[in-house]
Amino acid sequence: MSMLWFERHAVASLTETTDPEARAAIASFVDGTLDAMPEHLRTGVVVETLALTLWAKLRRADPGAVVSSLARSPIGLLRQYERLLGSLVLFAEHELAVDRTT
Amino acid sequence: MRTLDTEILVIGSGAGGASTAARLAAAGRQVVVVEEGPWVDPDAIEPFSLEEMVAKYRHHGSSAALGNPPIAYAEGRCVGGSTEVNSGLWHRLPPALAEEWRRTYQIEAFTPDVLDGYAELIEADQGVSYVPAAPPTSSALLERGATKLGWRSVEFPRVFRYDAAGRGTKQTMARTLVPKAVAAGSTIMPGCRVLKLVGRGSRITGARCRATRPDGTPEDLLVRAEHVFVCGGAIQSPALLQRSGIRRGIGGGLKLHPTIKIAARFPHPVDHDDVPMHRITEFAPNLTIGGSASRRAHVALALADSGALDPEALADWEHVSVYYAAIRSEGAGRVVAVPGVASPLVTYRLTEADVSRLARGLVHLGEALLAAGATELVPSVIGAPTVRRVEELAPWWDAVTRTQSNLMTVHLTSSIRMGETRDRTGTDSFGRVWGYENLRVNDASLLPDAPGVNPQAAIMTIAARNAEQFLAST
Repeated sequence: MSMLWFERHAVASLTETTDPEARAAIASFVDGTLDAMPEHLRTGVVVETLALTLWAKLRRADPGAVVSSLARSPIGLLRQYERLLGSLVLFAEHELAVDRTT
Repeated sequence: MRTLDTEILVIGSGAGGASTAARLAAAGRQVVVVEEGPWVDPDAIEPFSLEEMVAKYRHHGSSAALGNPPIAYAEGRCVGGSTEVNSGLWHRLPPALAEEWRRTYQIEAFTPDVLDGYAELIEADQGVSYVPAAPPTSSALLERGATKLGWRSVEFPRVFRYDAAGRGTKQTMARTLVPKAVAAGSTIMPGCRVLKLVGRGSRITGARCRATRPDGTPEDLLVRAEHVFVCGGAIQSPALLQRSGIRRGIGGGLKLHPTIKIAARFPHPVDHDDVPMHRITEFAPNLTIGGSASRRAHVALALADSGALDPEALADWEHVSVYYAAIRSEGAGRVVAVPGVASPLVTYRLTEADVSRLARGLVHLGEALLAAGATELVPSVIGAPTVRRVEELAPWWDAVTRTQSNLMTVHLTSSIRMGETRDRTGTDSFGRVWGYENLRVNDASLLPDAPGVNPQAAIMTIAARNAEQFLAST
């Protein structure tokens, strides 16, 4: 399953680089990794994504800001959601930075 | 459906499967090895890189055992299995553990003498060796910290061969035993997933597979075999047996090494191309302290695991290296194949004693790194303070909780234990599945407990021993 609307916006917001090629590569890596996750984990992530989508729409909040705010949430599942997307973006961003400098 | 006949089918090509195939093929047996993952040239991809995660890891490395807390884990999924992606550290099974397992599970022919005999042969064959020159800074720092504290530390050998210039090459299964098995007449089939074992009564007659043709299209394949060795690792092997209706003693008792990390900043640059080969063994085997892959991206992840990524520390990443404390856990997990779903459900229950042991591990790791000269320590615990002096470590004891700790592991074992105690094991002393004449398991699943160290040596040693017993008995 490809990234959902909320996930795409959250990943775009969490990505720091402004280089369009790098941003596309990061999004592609996150997309591929979410797609490759074990089915039960991906299903759990999708359920959370849908709940957060609803929350963001009702609050008219930016998905990236919503995800960033989850890092210190008292709810473990929400923290894990932020950790997942944040880690994938962070890892790809810094790996691609290595690629560009070598 | 295409049909293939062979004497022996080996499922999986990692440390267990490649060891099995190479030995059986060398003895003149007809062997087919099926591997779910692709063949990836071992020289083509940089170790620990993003490209490696995509090409060689199952689920791109994004798996987790569910529980409180969840524990992220990684498995290799390519020809050579996890030997293609691990650090190559070589730890013989500690004799005291072997003896404990032999007694507890009544494992036949499992004395340290027997195991060391196989380990010596494998070490000579695989080129297990020490770094020929001085170890890298990241490794020497562990030794320095331990020495200052009066703790034991050891440089472990690795499954590496070194050229005259001192350049090391990891001797993965794709470089060594898989080619050896092929040279002895085995057939290796990458991109071939076993869906289910088939059989009648107490005999397995083969495996239904989904193979990949050279043009990339899938095809259904039935591999008929007189003997089957399941060597998919501690997650995939029990899942396959369960999918095939074999459940007794299968999938429970999963063990892993819960691991907690620190990103340590030093006043000088630290190397980032290798994994430290030193380990602090003062508290082994229940607690081991070592170093992790520390490329820029790993440093970033470790810093972020504190819950607040410090941009100033990240900008200084060349002075930062990642270290870990790994424990032998009292808790246990379970692998459950879910009907209609390819991936098994994996759960793990950490005990309160495990959480305490992790806290102790984190504090000891902090002590060692500060003694080694680290100026700043960032633990993988949300909300735990960054530490700069030994006196500041005390709050970490309370900070390590189920909800705040970010844990991971790369060592998974014990989901199909071996031994003669039928109520506690899934196979006999040599990996033959209870109730089946010709079905064997020969991988990390068989280890009765987590060894507290990198399990590759134990897996290869036990696999060689079991293969020899098979040759002697059939």
